[in-house]
This record gives sequence, C-alpha cells and structure tokens, in this order.
Amino acid sequence: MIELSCVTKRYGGVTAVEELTVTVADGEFAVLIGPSGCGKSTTLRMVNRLVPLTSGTIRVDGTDVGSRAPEQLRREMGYVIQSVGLFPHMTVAGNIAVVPSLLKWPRQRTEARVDELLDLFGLDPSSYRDKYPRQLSGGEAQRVGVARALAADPSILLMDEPFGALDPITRETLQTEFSRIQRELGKTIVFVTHDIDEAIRLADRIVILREGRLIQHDTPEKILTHPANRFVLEFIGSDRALKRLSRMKTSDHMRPTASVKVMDSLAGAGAIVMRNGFAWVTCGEGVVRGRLDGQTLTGGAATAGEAMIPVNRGLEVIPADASLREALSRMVQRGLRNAPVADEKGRLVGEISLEDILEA
Amino acid sequence: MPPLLLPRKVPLTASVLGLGSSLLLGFVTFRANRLAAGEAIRLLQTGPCGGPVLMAAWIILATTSILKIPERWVNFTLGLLPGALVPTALKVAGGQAERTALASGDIARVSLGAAFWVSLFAAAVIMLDAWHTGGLRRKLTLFSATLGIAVTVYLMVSGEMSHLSILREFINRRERFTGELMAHLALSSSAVGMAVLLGLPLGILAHRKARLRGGAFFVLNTLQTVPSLALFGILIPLLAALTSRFPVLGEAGIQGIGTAPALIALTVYSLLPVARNTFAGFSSVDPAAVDAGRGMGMTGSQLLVRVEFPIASPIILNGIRVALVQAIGLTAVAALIGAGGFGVFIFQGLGQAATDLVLLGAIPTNLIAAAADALLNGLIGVANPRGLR
Repeated sequence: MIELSCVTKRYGGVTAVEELTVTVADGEFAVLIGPSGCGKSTTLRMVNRLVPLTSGTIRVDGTDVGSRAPEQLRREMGYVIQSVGLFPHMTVAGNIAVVPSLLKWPRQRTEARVDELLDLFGLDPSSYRDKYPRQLSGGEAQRVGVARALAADPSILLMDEPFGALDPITRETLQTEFSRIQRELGKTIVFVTHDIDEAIRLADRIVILREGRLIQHDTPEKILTHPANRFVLEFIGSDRALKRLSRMKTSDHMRPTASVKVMDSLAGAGAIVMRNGFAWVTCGEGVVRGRLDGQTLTGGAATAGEAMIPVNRGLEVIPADASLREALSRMVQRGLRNAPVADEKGRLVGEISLEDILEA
Repeated sequence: MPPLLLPRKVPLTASVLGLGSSLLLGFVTFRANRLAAGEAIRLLQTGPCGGPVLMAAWIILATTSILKIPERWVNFTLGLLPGALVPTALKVAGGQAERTALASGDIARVSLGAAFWVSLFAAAVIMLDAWHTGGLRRKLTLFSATLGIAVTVYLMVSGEMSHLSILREFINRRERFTGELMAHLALSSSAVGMAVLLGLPLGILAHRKARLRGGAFFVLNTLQTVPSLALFGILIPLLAALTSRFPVLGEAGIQGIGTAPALIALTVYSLLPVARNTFAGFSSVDPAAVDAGRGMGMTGSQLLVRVEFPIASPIILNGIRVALVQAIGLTAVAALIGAGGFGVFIFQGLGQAATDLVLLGAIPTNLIAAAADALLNGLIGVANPRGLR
C-alpha cells in the first residue's frame, strides 16, 4: 500500500505538487493523469525518492520512505520511463539482470529469471538474450524495459509514461499485453500518462491532477459518469459515453438467443423465426454460420442452411471479450441493430443489440 | 581496339614521384668529414647493380599503375614490390657508404639523401593505398611490409649499414641513446599518467557541474595555446623562486631546470585532451540510462563504474591517445631545459649542423609516437563495448 499524505513539492517559488493526499491499495493499478506540468511525474518520482519532498510524508506498507536508504528502497520498486533508458553497452539479459546483480543474486537464479521474463513478454529467450538494445525495435525495447523493472519481482511498479513514445499500434499491443501480465502478477502500480484513453483502459483508479492539486480520484467508470467539475469534463472529452463503453465487456451485457442448426428443415426453423422475428444459424459445434429471418423463409429452400444469409454477407459476429465500444462500432459500420456474440472458437454464446448497448 | 591504358591515380603518382626523384635528386650525400659541405650522389651514380634494380622497380610500378592488365598481376606487383623496395634502397645506400669508407677513410660520411626519403614516402603511399583497396592486395602488402620491416631491422642490427652516417652517430652514442630513450618514455608517460589522474576527475566534474565547465575549459584551452618553449621558460624562474623560498623542494630534487618543469608543462598540455574527452564521453551517455540506473537503485559509484564509464571509455581512451602522441612530441622540446630525452640529439645536431644527429633524435621520436598511437588504437578497439559499435 502506498499512502501519500499532504505531499508538497516546491522548486524555488514554484509549487509543483501541493498538499496531495492519495492512497493506492495493494494490487491496485493507479493512473496519475493531467495536463503537462500538473506534477504527475514529480509525484511518481517522489515515491522512490528520485525527487525529495518539500513537506508531507509518503508511506509504503506503513514505513515512511524518508526513513529508508534511497538505493535499498528503489531496488524494491520497479521503475519504467518513457525513454526506456536501456544500457546500450549491455545485452538484453544484462539489462534485465541489473537489479538482481545489485541484490547479488546467484548467477543461475538470475539467468532463470531473465528467461522467465523474456517468455512472459513474448520475446524468445534464445534469440533475444544476447541482443543489444540498438538491435531492438521501440516496442521490443520497452518490453525489455518493463521486464527489467520486474526482474527482482518487486511488489510495486512505478511507470512514467511507459508507452508514450511508441506508435499507436505498438502502444495498443503493449497496453493489452501489459493488462494481461498485470492480471497474472497483481502488482501495485503507479502509472503516469497524459493519454486519457490509456488511463481508462488500464486503471483501477484514476488520479486527476491539475497544477499540482488533486482534482478527482475515482474509478474510471465514476469519473466518466460523474466528472467532478468542468475541468475533468473537458479533460475526458466529449466522447465520454463512448469511453465508458470501452470499459464494458460484451459478454457482460449480451442476452441469450434462439438458434437453429444448418441441417434443420425450414419448416421447423420457421416456427422459431415466426416467434422471435429471426434466428441465428449454427453448425454442429455451435459455430455461427448465418441468420434466418422472415424474408429468407419464402425462397423455397429445404433447410435452414440453404435459406440463411451467410456470415460473410453483411453479418457481424462480435467476440465475447470485445468491449461494448468495439461492438457498437462494428454494428454501426454494418448498419445492424443486433449481432451474434461468439466465444474465441466462434461458437454462439448470445446476442447483443443496439438497445442493450444504450441501456448499459 | 580496346583501350590499353587504365591509370590508377595514387600508385601512378607515387611511382612517378619515386622514379623522378631517383633520377634527379641525390640518393645519398657524401661529405669528406662530418661537418664538411655535402655532395649529392644520384641513384645511378651509386654502385654496381643496386641503382638499376631500384630504377627498374619504379618503372615496373609505374607501368603496372597505368596499363590495362589483369587485376591479379596488378595486385601482386603493387602489393609485393613496395615492401621489398624499402630494404633494397637501404642496402644500396649502405653499400655505397661502405665503399666510400674504404676509398676515403673513416672520417668521410655518407648520409641518406633526398631521393631516398622521397622513395620511402612514395613506397609508403602505395602501401597505404593498397591497404585501403583491400582484398588480395591488402594481404600481400601486409606480408611484404612485415617482411620489409624485418629485413630493415636485420640490416640495421647486423652492422651492414654501420657505415651510414646516421648509424655512425648512433654507434658513437649507443649508451646515451638507451638512456635518452628511457628518459623520453618515462617523461612522456608519467606526464600523461598525471594528466589522467587529474583530467578524469576534472572531466567528470565538468560534466556534473555546468558552472565549473566554462571556467575549467577556458583555462585549459588558453594554456594549450601557450607555445611549449614559452611555458618551459615561464616555469624556470617560477620553480627557481619556489625552491629558494622552500628549501624542502630543492632537497626533494626539484629545480628550475630539469625534469620538474618539464613534467609540469607536459602534464598541463596533456590535461586538455584528457579532460575534454572525459567530459565528451560522459556527455555522450543517454540521460535516460542514468535516470533508469538511479531509479533501479544504483548508487553513484555503481552508476559510474557500471554505466557511465564503460560507455564513455572509448572517447576517454581516444583523448589519452591524443595526449600521449602529443606528449611524446613535446618531450623532444623539453631537452632544452635539461630534461633529457631524444631532444638532446636533435638540439645537439642542430648546434653542430649535423643532420644525421638530428635524425637520430627525430626518427625514434616519431617511431615511438606511432607505436603509442597504434597501441592506444588497439586498446580502444578492445574497450569499445559491442553494443555501441
């Protein structure tokens, strides 16, 4: 647990952070956000004493960080920065092993840990271990940067705009990957960004700062539905409704649906269509194949499979783990009022309609 | 008809230079005694067969450089001949000296003339060009140059050349030579050693403290522009005054002339390249790497030893290389204030108008400077971290 109480930082006459009191619970992903110069990076760097406090206290697991030797403290916290800062003269393995070597881990333990982390970040140890930083792409370098921060398995991770310098596609890949890793590891994370979409995507709780002061500290959902003031409202942007949808999963809002099999006779299937207005057509394993509605019944076909509108002709199958924002976007693009929802193997698990999304 | 000519500019120019100088300039200089006026003897006026052989070699080199012939032949000729040419030229000069000694007695002197030095230069140019051409020609050049150096050293040591004036000067001062070599090496290397001890911290400090930077480099730059002779001159009365004020210094062997002022002046000159390159090396370290290192819990000294220094080391070593080569050259001047070294021969030779004595001081000075340069370059290659190459 990280507790900041009445933390103030002044540079000469300029106040960078003023009377900030915030608590980050164990295992919580806290995102500090605000316009540039709001004191978010300064706040982060005060937690591991890279920046000294002017007044106030910061406690980590109940201990005042000011009472700890800064080097010892920092070795217990992972630290990731936007410009990565890999050591160019060391290999990837050497970079990841920095903190273990400071902690004097035995060689075998360090090597095993390096390989484990490279695997975790989807970098094949045998081909990446001995590479040098200049041989890595931006995305690979930052994966190594995060792996390096996790090397000694710290319970706290401090991240200062870690994905800020990456191109949008790589950034999104790393965000997704990092969410997955965080779900596995459950670290306590303090994460600085100026990208509200990134904050909404990753955060358990968001801390909004402005000119060194706390403006709002809440879950992303609350911040989107109940912005504290005009500043927050403007900061999160006019599409906050859509942003809220991006936090919601399709599988949490879909409803059960009626389906028929490809081989079912049209007569039998017709009864279901008459009752519901339409029906999804699936094959043996439950994989969605098409859609049957009133008009398709009249063609004189014998089975549901022959009469249906197949998936590839103007039908959209929504993955169950997609966000509602993505589901909405796909449906609007195709001009559909509803769509089948399928699991990762393509099997029908439910349906989602525009009405469901509006009510969410 | 296909063209017959394919001029290779560099070897062609060099071999024309070698040929022309051998035809027109004196290959060796004859003097009735050590201080008498010289008389130039051209290559074709020297002894029975050496001259024509050398001439033929230059003609072959020149024609190979201009004719359109298979590249393989070109490689063999341009790769092998220059390396063989150098010891041959020396042998021709040495033979002439020996014959002169027999004919005119031991006081007569034969020294190396303009055509010899131009030929040496031309051969070196062809070898350098071959080195940059690469491939087979580079390998053959390496082979013939190594062999050429070995034969040259053998000729010098075996006594076959002992009638050449420069070796006569050497033989007359054999013991002195070793002493001055040691003095020269000791003075220049200890000055650079001192400069490293002072310049490394100074460079690091200049990197960390921006306020110190301007002042420190202003002083060092200014000192660098003081002519060496003037600096030696300034130090003489300064140290003399100090020793008379504090007799302890005099008892410790510090005087207005001799090693002490030389060491101080050479250290001052070496300080700028070392400090400046240390500063540049540390400035080349990405600030993000330093921030990351601190953020991961490295102490100041761990950061210095594990991150900053390894990244800066090639640039620092390069500064030490410059300082060392410069100090070896400047040490020759230090002989003027009684610090010893090869400068002793140079200034004696100048005083006696004995060119060969000047060369006895100048050539070894150049050779050890080149050796120091090569040594440090090798070290830089080893120290350069693989990730930075």
